[in-house]
Amino acid sequence: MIVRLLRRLLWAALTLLGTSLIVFLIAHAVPADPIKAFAGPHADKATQEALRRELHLDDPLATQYLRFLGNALRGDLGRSNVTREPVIEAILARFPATLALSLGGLLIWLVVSIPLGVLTAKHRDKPIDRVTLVLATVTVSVPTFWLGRMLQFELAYRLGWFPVAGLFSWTSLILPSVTLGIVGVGYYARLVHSNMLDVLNQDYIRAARARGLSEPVVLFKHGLRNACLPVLTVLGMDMAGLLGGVVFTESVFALPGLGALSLQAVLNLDVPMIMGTVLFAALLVVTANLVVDCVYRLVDPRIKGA
Amino acid sequence: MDRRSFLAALAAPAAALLPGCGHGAQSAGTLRLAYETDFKSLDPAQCFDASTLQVMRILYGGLLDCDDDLKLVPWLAAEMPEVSADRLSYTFTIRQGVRFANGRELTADDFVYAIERIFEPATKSVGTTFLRNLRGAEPFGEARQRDAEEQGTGRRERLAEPRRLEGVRALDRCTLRIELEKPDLAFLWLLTLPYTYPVPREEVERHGEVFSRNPCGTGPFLLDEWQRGQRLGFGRNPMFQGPARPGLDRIEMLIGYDLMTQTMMFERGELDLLNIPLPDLVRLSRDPRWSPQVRSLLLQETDFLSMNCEMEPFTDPRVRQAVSYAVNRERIVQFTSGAGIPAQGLVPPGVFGHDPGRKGYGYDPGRAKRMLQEAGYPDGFAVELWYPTDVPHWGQICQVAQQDLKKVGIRANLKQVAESIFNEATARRRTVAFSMYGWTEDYPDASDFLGTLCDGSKIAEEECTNASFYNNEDVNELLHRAAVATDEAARADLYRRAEDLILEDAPVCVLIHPKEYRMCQPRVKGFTLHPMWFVRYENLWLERA
Repeated sequence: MIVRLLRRLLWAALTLLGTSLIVFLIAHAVPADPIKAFAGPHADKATQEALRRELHLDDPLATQYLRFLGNALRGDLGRSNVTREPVIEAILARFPATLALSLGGLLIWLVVSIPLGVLTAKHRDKPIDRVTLVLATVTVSVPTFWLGRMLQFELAYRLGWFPVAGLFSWTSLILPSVTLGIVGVGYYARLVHSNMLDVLNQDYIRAARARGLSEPVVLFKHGLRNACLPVLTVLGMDMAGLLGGVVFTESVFALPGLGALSLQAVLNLDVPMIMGTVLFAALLVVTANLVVDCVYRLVDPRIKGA
Repeated sequence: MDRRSFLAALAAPAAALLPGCGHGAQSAGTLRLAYETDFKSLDPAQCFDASTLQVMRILYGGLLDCDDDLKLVPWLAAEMPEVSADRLSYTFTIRQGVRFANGRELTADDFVYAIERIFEPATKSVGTTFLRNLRGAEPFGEARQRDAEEQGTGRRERLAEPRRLEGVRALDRCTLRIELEKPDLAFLWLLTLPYTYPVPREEVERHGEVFSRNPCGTGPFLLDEWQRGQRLGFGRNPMFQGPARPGLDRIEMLIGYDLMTQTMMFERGELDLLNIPLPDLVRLSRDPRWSPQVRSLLLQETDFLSMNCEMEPFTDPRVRQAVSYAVNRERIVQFTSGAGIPAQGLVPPGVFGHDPGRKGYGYDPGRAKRMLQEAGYPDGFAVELWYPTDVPHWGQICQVAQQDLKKVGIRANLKQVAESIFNEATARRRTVAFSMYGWTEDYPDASDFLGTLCDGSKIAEEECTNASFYNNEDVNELLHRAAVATDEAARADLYRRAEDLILEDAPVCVLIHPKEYRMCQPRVKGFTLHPMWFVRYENLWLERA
C-alpha cells in the first residue's frame, strides 16, 4: 500500500513538473511582450529595459524556468509582473471562493445525480427515465457560460431571488453552484443509471432480494455501493473539468476566485501569475486523484492490498 | 444642440452646487460602481489608462486642470503661470495650505521630486515620453539609467551627473519654475496629466515598490481598502483643502464585473453609475425610467482603418484612397447603434487643430472601383483585416467595413487577435498590412494625433505608433514646424495643411469619432461627463431618499 502510494506521489510530482514546463513554454511562445502589456503604449525603451532587467526577463529561458522551479519548491511562486503582489498570496486569497464554488457544484452533482440515476435504473424505460434522459442530454450539451447567464438573467435580474453577481454573502454562491452543478448532473445521472443497470442484474442482488431485504436496502446498500465505483474513478478525472467550469462561472458571476485571477493573468500576459495559477490547479487535480484513489480502496475491499 | 451648449446644459446643475455651498441639500453617502478589471497601479507616475486617470483625480492633484470647456485652469497652482516671452520658462505659485493625506504641507519641492522621480528607471513611469522637452531631461534621464545599470555591480561610487533635473526648480517654498528645451504651446496640457502630480517623498520611500498600492496625495479622497481583484474603497481625505468639500462620504468600486453584469446590477439598483454597453443603448435610451439618466459625450478619439504604406497593395496611394471611398461611415454609425459620428479627418472635434470645415472622403463605391482598376486591381484583392479583442464594437465596425469593401472587390478577411498581440504586431514594421485602429487624446492638441500617428521621421522597426508607416517629407516638415511654433493661429494652420496632405495620401481611412454613453441612478446628482476625465467623482453627491 505504502509503496503504491509513494509511486503515485512520484507520478504526481512528475505530472506537476511536466505541467509547469508546458505552461512556461506556452506562455513564452505567445508573440507578445509582457513588458509592453504592463508598461503601456507610451513606455520608452529605457523604461522597458529597466523593467525587463528587474523582472529577470532578459535571462535565458532555461535560467528563468530553473529559477521558477527552485523557488516553487521552496513555496515561493514569485511576484506578479503586473501588481507585484506575491503570487502565492494572491492564490490563497482567491482559493476560498473557488473552493466554496467547487464544493457547491460537486454537492449538486452528487446529491441530485445519484438518486436520479438509481431511480431511473429502477424505473427503466418508464416516463421518468425518458424525461431524465432528455434532460441529461440537454444539460450535458449546454455551455456553462450560457447557462450561467440565463440563470442570472431570469432568477437574479428579472425575479430578484438572488444577487446578480459578486460575493457578498452565502446566497451569492447559490446560482454559481447551481450553474456548475447542472452541467454535471445529467452526465453523472446517466453514469449511475447505466452502472446500476449492470449491478441490478448481478446474482448478489438477486440473492439479497431472495433473502427478503427491503428494496431500498437492496438498491442503496448493495446496488449503489458497487455502482458508484466507476463514478468515483470518473469523478477524480473530472476535477480538471470542474475547475475549467469554475473559470467561466466565476467570470459570469464576478466571483473573486482562481478562475477570474487566471483569466486576468492571461489577459495581462502576467507569466508568474499564469504559472502559479495553473500549477496550483494542477496540484488540486493531482491531489483529488490521489484522494479518489484512496477512497476507492476504502469503498471496494476487493482491491485492498492490490 | 451643439456640443458646447450640451456640455453647458449638463454642467449647469453641478455648477449651481459647486464652490462654497457645502452641498447642504444633499445627503452624503456611498457611491457604488463596478469595473471589469482591477487597477494595475495607483502611483500617478505609472498611470496611463482612462479608468485609472479618473481615480487619480480623487487621490491626487496637479498644477493645472481642464474645465468643461476644455480650458486650462489652476488646480494646485494659485493662478496660471507666468510665461517668458520666448515661451521657454513657466513660473508657478503653489497654492498655500494644501496638505497631503499624511498631513504634511505641499511645497514646490514636492513637484520637483515627483517630476525627477519619473526619470528614475525604478519608478517604471511612462511619463518620460511626455516630458522629454524639459530642459536637461535627456542627460538627466541617461544619468539615472547609468545609476540603475551600475547599481549592485560595485562600480558605482556616487550618483552619475547631472544629479538634478535642470529644467525643474523650486525657487522657494511656493514657487516652481519649469523650463523647456524648445517652445511648445501644448506643454501646459502635459501638466494636467498624472505624471507631474506631486507625491510625498517620505511616503514613496517608506513604501518603496508598493507605493503603487498605498497612494498618498492631495485629493479629496484617500484609499482605505483595496482587496485585489475584488474591491476598492475610498473615504474622505480629512486633510483635503479644496475649494469645495466632496459631496460623497465614500466611493466603492467593485472589480471583475463585465458590462452585461454591470447593466443588470445597475437596473436592479445595485450600482449607481453605468458605462452603457452599445447593445443596450437603444433599449435604455427608450425606457422612460432610464432615458433622463443617460449622458453622452463625443470622445476626442478617432477610429480608423490603418493601411501599411510599406506593404502591398497599400504602397499605391490609389488603393488607399479607394478604401476610403468604399466605406460608408453613416452605415457604420447606424449599425453600431450610434457608436459615434462619421469622421472627416484625423483630428477630432474639440481638439486644437481640428478643422470644422473639413470634408473628408464621401461614400462613392463607383469611384473606389475605378481607382482600383487604375491601380491595377480590376478584380480587387484579398487582405486580412486585423482587429483587437478589447474594444467590443470594433468587431461590428469591421464587419460593416468588410461588407462595403466587398462591393468594390476587396475581400477583407477579419482576424481578431488578443490586444497584446495586436499592439505588438501592428507596431512592428512590415508585419500587418491592414488593421482597425483608434487613437484617443492624451491631451487635446493636434500634435497628439498627427505627430503621433503620421510623423514619418519617427518610424521605427518596432513599437512604432505610426501604424501605417506613412512617410511624407512635406508632412514631416510641417509637423516639426508646428511643434515649435509660438503663434497659435500659425500653428493651427500648419497642422491643417499637414492633415490635408495626410488625408490626400490616405494612409488611414478615417471612420468615426466615438461617443461615450453613461448613466446614473436618479439619486446621483451633479453627474456630467467631462471631455478629458469622463467622471469627476468629487462633483457628485447623493440625494436623500
